[in-house]
Amino acid sequence: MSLKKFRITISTTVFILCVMAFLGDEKISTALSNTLPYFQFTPSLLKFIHNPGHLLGSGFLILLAATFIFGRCYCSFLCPLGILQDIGIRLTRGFRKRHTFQRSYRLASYCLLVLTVVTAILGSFTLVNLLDPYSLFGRIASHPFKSVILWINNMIVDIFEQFDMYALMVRKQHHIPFSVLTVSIGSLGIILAFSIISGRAYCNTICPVGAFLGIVSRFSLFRFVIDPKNCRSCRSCESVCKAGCIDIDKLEIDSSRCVTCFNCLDACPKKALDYKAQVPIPFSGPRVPSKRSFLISSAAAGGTFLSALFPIRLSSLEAALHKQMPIMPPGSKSLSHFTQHCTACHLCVSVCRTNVIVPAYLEYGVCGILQPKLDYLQGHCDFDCNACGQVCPTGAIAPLLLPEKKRTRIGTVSLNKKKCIVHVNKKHCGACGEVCPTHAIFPVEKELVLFPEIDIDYCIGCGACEHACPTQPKAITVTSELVHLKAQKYVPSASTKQLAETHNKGFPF
Amino acid sequence: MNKLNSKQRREFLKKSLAAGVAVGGSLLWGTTDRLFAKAAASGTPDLVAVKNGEPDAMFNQAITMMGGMKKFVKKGQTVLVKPNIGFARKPEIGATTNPKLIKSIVGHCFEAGAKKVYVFDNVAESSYGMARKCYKESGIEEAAKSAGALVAPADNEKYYQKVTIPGAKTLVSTEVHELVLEADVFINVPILKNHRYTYQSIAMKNLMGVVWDRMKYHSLDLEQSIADFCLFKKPDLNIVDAYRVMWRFGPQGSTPENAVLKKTLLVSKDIVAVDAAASKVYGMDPERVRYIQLGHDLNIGNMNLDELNIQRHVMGG
Repeated sequence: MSLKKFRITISTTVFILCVMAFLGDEKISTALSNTLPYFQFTPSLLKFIHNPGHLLGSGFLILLAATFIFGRCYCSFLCPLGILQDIGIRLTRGFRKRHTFQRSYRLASYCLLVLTVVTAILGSFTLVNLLDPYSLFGRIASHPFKSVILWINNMIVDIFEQFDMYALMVRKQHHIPFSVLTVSIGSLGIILAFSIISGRAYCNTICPVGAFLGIVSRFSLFRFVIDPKNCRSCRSCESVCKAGCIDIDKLEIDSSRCVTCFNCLDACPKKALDYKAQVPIPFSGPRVPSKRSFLISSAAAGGTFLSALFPIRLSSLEAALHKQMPIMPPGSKSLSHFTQHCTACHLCVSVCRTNVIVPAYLEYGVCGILQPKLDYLQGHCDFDCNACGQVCPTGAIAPLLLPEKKRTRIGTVSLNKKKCIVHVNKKHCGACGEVCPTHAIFPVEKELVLFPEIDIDYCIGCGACEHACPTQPKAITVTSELVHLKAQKYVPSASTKQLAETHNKGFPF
Repeated sequence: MNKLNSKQRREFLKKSLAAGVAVGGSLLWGTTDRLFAKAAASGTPDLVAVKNGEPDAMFNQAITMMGGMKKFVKKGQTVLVKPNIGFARKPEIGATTNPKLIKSIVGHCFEAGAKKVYVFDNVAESSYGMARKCYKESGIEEAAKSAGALVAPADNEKYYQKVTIPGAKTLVSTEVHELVLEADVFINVPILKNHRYTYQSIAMKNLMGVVWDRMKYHSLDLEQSIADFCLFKKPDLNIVDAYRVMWRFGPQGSTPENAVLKKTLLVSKDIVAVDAAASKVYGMDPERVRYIQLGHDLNIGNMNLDELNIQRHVMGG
């Protein structure tokens, strides 16, 4: 098997698994999310920074070591967004221009990388959310892809049901605000267009992961070399190079942009190209004037250092400015923890069994964009479910054991008695109380009417009451807790079982 | 999607498939004819009460006392069995109908010659995805399937059709599950349990699980709407499971300690009478449960148990 075919086999498998993870089946997603993000750059990097001992963090070290040895293999083998572009490039092979050598926009990509890192350290994940390739792919998979697949599923279910076959179930796509859908479909369109027109230009110009791995791969051990004796300058390799990094005129390959797809090896009719270890490691010649590169690197280092020292995080500013923040999933710990870990991949959105987790758009302000929130118009947070924390690849939603999750207060309930049906009409309702899982809502009987009352000590903010409340606007609502708290556990009063004793011999009628 | 359009689309789909497949034709005709199995029963008791047995054994006894399932289900008919699967709770919590009872009822329906038996409930936890959890957790899906029933989904508006209810005071119109309209025989199988906001949940309250918009009841007048719905459709048979009775923290319940074994089963064609009797089994005066009184006032049934022919049986005694 040639190295190219090996790459295609691995990457196709990774791509299919990634799509499956984002289709929202709880079992499949949970199983896959324990292995796949291990090899995803940004999730494993975040795990490594915040929890160096964690197993997922070591994935980052493996990726880093692999890049030092083999070059940017992540971009071709493991990055789902890269593989998606490769699929686009492959499918349009007959219609588009062949690849040629491209000039490098290294400066732009480094600036974007520095800006992304500095803003992230300052507490704004907006650029990470928008640019991280894994998360970009996650949104593409869980919005447009999943919508199409569920639509097909529901068509099939419809046919089956005519014949009384109920093995398959109608599945409902989670709510996607129009603005969010615009971003995910827009990014899909832009990235595919980019790739069809100029190959992996997105990865080499905009993607911060690509920029970082590009720096590392300049020192990689294995690299592509052209043998000048055998090369006839037929440009076969250049025309299949998605990264546009082969310069036949100078017989040079820019290893910082090479995504190690191995297309060139198979394309060369004279076998003038080789992929082998270079000892000693040559510093592959980026022709950036040394003064400029020094300025950039010192600015980057300085910016990163200063921003790390900066005492105020943007999240705390944001929280002070806006009292009403979105409700975050259980396990998010606090606004700053959540917004500074979440890359907005929307795996939790997709896996949520009640569809209560939806993508936010700008609700988190400067802290982040597109990060998920709980929307109680869509559903409520199921008491017996902790799936979001189980699948979260970055630790933004920490995995909680069920007993702990059942006492984690993500919001607090309040009842507006001026709107509540029972208080206004003096007629029974109980919609909120009958679904409250924690006894935070209890009935009080006055003049033969059962009024709902609230004891916030037991409230976990799951939103079952708000979702059920039949009034418009809702009489019972939940507001977000910026730091998640622990609710009290309800202990029922010991009461004699009066029922057990009565009428056990005969009938009461 | 517009509901009517979806219905038309389904009809179209049904017809085009039927044209292609010969089997489809018989299926289409089979479900449209409506033969109601309302045998003029002279000797049938108004209410049968059995106690001190397992759910299935008590049902065997009760249905025999009612004159056998053949009285209610004729050969080739389609039956709808409507349990209470309102919450994702294990049977020992007492929030959902006993699966053993459901299995036994489905078995009796097939023995009587039923062509198909459907089981469904539009669960109380209205978030998307909760229905399948309730079906599973309650053990009813498994029990019903093992007896050969079709466990149908009810968590999508496409299964519902708009109906008007003549004579209703508040619930003038509602959307009803198509199986309620299509089935020849409708068997209501509630569980008797505490309900902290209507005092009791029994047979009349159980019918909230065949409509799409439960919250319409809550916003209009919960108890009046519960009574109003019975003007549209009275079940052909009501079987109240009072084997394990949740006596507080209803309707969803808490721990098994909050339910007690009453080992009782009530069967009646009169939904008001069976609710009144069940309420007494719980230990509550039926007059306190407003919808029972309202149902009586609307002539849906008779809550005065003294006026009824009640057959009682204590098992093993």
